[in-house]
Amino acid sequence: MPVSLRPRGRAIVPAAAAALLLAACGTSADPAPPERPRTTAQPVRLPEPLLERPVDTARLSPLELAAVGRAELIERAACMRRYGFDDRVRFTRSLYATLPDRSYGVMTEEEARRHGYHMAPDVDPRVPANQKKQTDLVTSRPPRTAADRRVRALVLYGTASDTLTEADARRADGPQPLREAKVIGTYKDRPVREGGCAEEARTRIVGDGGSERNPVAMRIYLNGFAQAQKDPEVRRAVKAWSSCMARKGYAYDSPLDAGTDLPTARGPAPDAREKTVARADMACKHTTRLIEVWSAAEARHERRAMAGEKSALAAETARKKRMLERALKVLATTEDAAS
Amino acid sequence: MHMKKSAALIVAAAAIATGASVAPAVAQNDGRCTTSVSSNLFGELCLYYNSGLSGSHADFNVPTRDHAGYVFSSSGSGQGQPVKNNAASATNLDPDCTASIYYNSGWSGPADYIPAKSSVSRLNNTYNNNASNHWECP
Repeated sequence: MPVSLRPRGRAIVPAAAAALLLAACGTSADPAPPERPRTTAQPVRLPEPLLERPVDTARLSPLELAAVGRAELIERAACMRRYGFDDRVRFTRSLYATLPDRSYGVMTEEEARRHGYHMAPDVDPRVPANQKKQTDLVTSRPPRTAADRRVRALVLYGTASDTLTEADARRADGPQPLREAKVIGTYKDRPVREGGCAEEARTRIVGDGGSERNPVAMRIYLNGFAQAQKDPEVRRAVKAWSSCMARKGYAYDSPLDAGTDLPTARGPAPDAREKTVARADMACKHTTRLIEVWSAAEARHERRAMAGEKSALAAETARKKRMLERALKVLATTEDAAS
Repeated sequence: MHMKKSAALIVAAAAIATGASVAPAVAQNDGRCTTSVSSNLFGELCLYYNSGLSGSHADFNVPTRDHAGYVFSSSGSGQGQPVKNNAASATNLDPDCTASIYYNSGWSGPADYIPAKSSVSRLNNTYNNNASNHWECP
């Protein structure tokens, strides 16, 4: 039974039905060219993360999730083209423009100097442009009517409803068996399946019926952070950092709270004062070796937890490896996809 | 032109839709968890007071720097309670973007990631430790 988040409703409307049938007959416009294949495929290698955690063998980092997401988008566009739409992926943003690791607050001197406690303007969620949803899937024939939008949603997502099905809810619990999705109708004589092109693309890259989430690794990563925070060595380092900041005139108990009280914290850009505080923060992190001490404690807790989850983590590690291999292969064979 | 049985199936499936594309613009924390496939709003991140996607929920459709000041808004257990550091489970209704829930305000600390159109029936470290949220879109 689906998990219902909103009451279902709406009866069949004959007028809408007629519009859908017309929409299904297609249009005569020439499709936009798809993404260009790379003539000489170069292997794509993602840069090393700022902090590499033991559990990251199985956990997908934000950049890895971005690579998987972009590969899925390319597959989605190809799927939509098979139904006669002209979707393609227009790479408007860098693959590498993901939110930076802020595990212990601001993490690098360069970030502090350039952006204070903010992030680069192309990713900072306070920048108005980043508060709007933008994906790189484009079509030259956007749907104009409600009926067209519904048809497009059905082909793309296999549903146009706000309801999360039980399969959706289970997807984040880890790998799910690969099953042929139920046919919910046809469009231009091709079967449309539950989940639509989005699910087809996800399955193709992920490799099973689950989502991109590896839940055991995620749990170990999050718990490792929580345990490290209570670790005596980390507490000492945090106290030393706080004293260092106090000597510079800033009162913060934890680097995770630093900068949140500044008047610019709500705005889209830092001012000179924010940058000054962030640089002092980094200087104190350097003096007290806060990042090294904290990340080492986190790694210890992760390793301890990993020892108790060997088989689950081996499966998640293999799952991540295969998922990334498939994603990077798609990116490597598509012009501009890995830029 | 005659309506084929298969086309009728599509129509029937479309009619099941709750009308997200024609519904009025959704608002942050208006007590309704909705997708937003036809607009430039994110499909909502819904944070639930209880595990298993139960109890009162709060719905977010823009990146939110600090959950302080928000309360669980829909009817159910926990309605009126503060959202910050109080969520037990979550749903990401965006069909395209990964939702992230951060341990600290200002998108810092570790984050739990919820892939597009899926849910986490019990948040891990962000369980009762949620302070900010965001989406990453491909």
